[in-house]
Amino acid sequence: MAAAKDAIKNRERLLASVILVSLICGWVAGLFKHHGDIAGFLKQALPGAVRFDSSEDNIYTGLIHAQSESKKAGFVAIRSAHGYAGPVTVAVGLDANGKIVNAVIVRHTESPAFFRRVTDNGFPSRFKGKDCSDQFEIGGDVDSVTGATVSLAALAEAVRVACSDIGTDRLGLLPIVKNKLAIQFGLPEILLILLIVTGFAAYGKKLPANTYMKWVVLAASLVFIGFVLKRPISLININSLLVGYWPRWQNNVYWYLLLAAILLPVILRGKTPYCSNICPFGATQEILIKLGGSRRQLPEKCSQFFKVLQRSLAWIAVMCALVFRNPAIITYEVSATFFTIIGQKWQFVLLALVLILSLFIARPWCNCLCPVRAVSDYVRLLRRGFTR
Amino acid sequence: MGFFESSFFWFIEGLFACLAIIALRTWTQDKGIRMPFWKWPVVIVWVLFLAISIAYIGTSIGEGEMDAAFFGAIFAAVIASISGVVVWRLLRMR
Repeated sequence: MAAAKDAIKNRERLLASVILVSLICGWVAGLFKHHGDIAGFLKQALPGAVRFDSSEDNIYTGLIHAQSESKKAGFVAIRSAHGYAGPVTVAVGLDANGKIVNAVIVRHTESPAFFRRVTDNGFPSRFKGKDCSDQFEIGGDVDSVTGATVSLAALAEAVRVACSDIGTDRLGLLPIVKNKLAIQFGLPEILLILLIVTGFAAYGKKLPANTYMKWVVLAASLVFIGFVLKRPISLININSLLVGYWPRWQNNVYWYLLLAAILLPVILRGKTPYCSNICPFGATQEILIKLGGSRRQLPEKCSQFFKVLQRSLAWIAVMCALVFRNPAIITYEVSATFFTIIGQKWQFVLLALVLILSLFIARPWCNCLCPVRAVSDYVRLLRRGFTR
Repeated sequence: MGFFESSFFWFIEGLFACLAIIALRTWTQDKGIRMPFWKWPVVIVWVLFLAISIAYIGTSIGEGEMDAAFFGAIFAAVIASISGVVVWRLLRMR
């Protein structure tokens, strides 16, 4: 019996090492990813120019004649800002008067379903005609887009930086002072800290007070993290961390708190209360199983199959994110679809299946498919290897 | 006038509705489920929701609005399943 257990442990350790090596290889392979030619984007951003002269500051001067350098059509700057899943890069063309001629998305790594909301609302073409001294503030001089606020904010910020750089470096305008480094710490962050602290306090011994507190935290998390903020943790956050797309902490305290809440306890203690006590989609499943009145577990063989499937899918998603340097390249999570009602059709079908199954089986998403759970399981396995 | 627009169709509909209610009553008696007055509207509302959902999906398909039919089916399936389980548990309440 002991020998069999040792054999399983050895096999797990070997598998963990192979996965670690594969992830490192994937990360290194991603370093060589070629981002493609930008000449086409320059032409789209400033259609009046026939030739572009580049400079060290990555601002291109668009010339009207191929031979002569005297007549300028304007300038193009390519700039990036951090969105939900990595940088959003735009090429912004300005004429000599500082008006935006066109803005074109060069590349982005946002979830396609969410970013489509931005483009369906006419962005970035809606920046056309704006002055380079504008503020580009969402809800101010830029209309907001429901369900894609973070992506649109990144797009607007990239356009603003491009305009500001061209304005100050080429058009001789005064730099637009914008206090972007002010620490954003408001109600969402305070609520998240409260939920994390209470969720952690309720974790552990199954006392009646803990159970009561757990339900309060789950309900609050469902309302605030889920339906109000619509920002539960997802594999995209973890992928962003691994790929190296770390947003500025001053503007993203929430992002770092959420990641710390799930990863730090696994690294330090080998378990995390996030999944059982805080996760808003977990709360949804807990409520549904209460409504269903049963708490059946999957049969052992079925459970084993889904464990393998869960971990394999998570590994594929992380590998692709590392190799293609795109944290959202493979997303199959249904929690965002549930809280935002945005997603692909198959995600809605999967969500419906999960919700219906949740009436009869305990946490089918968490136990069968959740990639965040797979990642935390893997970190736990690595930790066990190291501590040993 | 086609069959589905005729009064005869609605007569048959009414007949089936009566049969369904009698069947439900007999079935609950066989199972030993008590049916006080408040349980009847609960069941009827749930059946009506199901009927309207099916009508909505059918109409959307008929109008060629496949996206509306798809999302209608998804939302109806989830809501009908969850409410169905709740109604079933209410029915079983003594």
